Amino acid sequence: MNCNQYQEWVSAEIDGRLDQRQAQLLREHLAACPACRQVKADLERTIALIRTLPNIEPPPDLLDSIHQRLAVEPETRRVWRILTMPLTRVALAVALLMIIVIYGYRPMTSVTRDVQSVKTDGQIIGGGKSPESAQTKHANLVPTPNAGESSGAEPAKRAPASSMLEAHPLALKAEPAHRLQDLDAVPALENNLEMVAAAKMIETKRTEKRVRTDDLAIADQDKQKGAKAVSFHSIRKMSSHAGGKIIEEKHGAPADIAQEAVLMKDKAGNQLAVAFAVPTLPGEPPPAASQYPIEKKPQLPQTARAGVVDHKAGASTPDREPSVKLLVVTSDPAAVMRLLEPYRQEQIRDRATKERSDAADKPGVVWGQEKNVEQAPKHRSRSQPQGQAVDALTTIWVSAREYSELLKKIRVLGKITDDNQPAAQTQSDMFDPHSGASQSTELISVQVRIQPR
Amino acid sequence: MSKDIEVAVGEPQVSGEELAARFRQGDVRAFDDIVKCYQQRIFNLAYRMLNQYEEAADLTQEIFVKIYRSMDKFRGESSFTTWVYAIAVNMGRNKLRSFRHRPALNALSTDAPLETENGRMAMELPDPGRSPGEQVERVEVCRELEGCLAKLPPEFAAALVMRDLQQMTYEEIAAAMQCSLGTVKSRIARGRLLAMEKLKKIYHQ
Repeated sequence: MNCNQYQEWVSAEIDGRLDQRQAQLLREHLAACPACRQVKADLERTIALIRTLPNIEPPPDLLDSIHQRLAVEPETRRVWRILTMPLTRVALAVALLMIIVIYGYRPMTSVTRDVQSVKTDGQIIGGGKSPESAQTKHANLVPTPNAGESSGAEPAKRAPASSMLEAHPLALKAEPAHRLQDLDAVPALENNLEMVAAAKMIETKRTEKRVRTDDLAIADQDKQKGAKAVSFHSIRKMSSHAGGKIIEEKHGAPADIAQEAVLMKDKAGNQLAVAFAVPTLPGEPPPAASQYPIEKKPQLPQTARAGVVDHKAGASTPDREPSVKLLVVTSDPAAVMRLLEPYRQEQIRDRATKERSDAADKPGVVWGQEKNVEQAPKHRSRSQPQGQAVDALTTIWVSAREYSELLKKIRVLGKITDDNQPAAQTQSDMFDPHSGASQSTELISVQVRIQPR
Repeated sequence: MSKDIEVAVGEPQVSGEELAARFRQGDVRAFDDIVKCYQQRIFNLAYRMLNQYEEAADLTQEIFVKIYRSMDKFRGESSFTTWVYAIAVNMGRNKLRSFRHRPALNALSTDAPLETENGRMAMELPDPGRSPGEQVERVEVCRELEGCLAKLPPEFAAALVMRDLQQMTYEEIAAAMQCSLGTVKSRIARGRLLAMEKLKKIYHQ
């Protein structure tokens, strides 16, 4: 036994909790140990002091407070306490993080979903999660009247198409119009283009309708009312509003797919239309053509229609030919290529040196065979018949104005043999009432061969 | 186990068991009587453990809410008072543990009334029965003692309060703290020694 243990016994001895043997041992130790005697004295004083501590009155309203607690917080406080426990908070934070990671990137509008599910070649890859997107199969971008005015601009940078409409669908920014032939160009809208209208319904069964640009006013009103997103329904509604200002045009879309277009204009006032493939909603019949009164039905050349609506379909359809075929014989093929670069839609193919030299003294080509080569570019060099080779072949899409300007520039670089005049120059003024009769609304597909001199 | 402590609710005296039985039979007002019977002791236990008047009041409310919600769990296997104390000690211990993570406690509540042999009075008022020097010393020692009680391990503080302030027996304390008699003895003895160590410098000034 040491002093510490005896000192604990002192406490029990004061309370009378020691038996006789322990009490005897303690007395003997205390008689021999002055330190423990001092501890005993201090301890007795401390206990006496504790026992004199006053009794504190509880708050007089304690009972009322208890009743209030019982009434106000039946079980909620208990639940709240559990929720605010540290471990629970960590668990909730982790769960929230997971929800954000899984679902949280963006709320998607129907248009956004559709854009997201469009591949750059105009085909839909079905990336959207909605059942509508799964049905979507086709999409195009269509420039409208004043588009050609900004032909000198650089090609737009690519960016995720899905981001185009989600930030602020009614305040989009974009590059000039004629870049919008394909959804590749859609992301370019993000920065430079303010979308002021959403108004086009391309009907099913190979029919496309386009809203005139003066429908922009309607969409503008809609914007002023605080419209935040362009939904399938809002576009349809605005299309309906724009009755009498829609034209019909042949289109190669599958029968079960409806399409929409969004009219936009950039800061310079150039109007653009972007067509999105959208499915009809489940249980909803495809919009009837009669719902959108047709003002004019222009008799566009087949080639021009193909170019506007679906140049890929044009490339793959045997009866569709480019609007214009050019053979450029030049001593500077690279310069011509650079000139065409901003308008290029299909990959330019270089020929083997031997083929090029063989073709140099054989003017004229078999276009149909060239097209076949385009359809199977990977096997082109093997399947290309000798004697039909050219240095390069490309298809571009330009407005009538751009086409005429381009011709002048190319002429400086070499000799041009064009098979026909651009058909689109003769029509489509009706699409832009603001731009004057000389403006063309359609793009022309121009197939250009570059042959070294 | 000693007999349950009788509690006074007006006349005649009613035991905690009787109040609990009334409550279980549907007499909701019996709970008010339970609060009135135990609030003094439960509040003082809380106050001595926390040494903060408002916190002690809040804890006391929580304890009685807990008692209200747990009344159906009282089976009469122990005395009602022991059962009430068990809840109070458990909640007080939890509160004190979380409470001590906060910034330093006040050594003395400034708004709590002080009971002396001359009646309730503010803590700062002089005790007319003592000389000014004695009064100053007494207040200082009381502050030191209250502070060191609140700084003891929760189990030690609870045992000390129940034993020396509320004169509960070792057996009642053991039942309330759900531990053995030996543990209670040890906690009381160590608690007193720790308090004595804190106060020794004042004793031998």
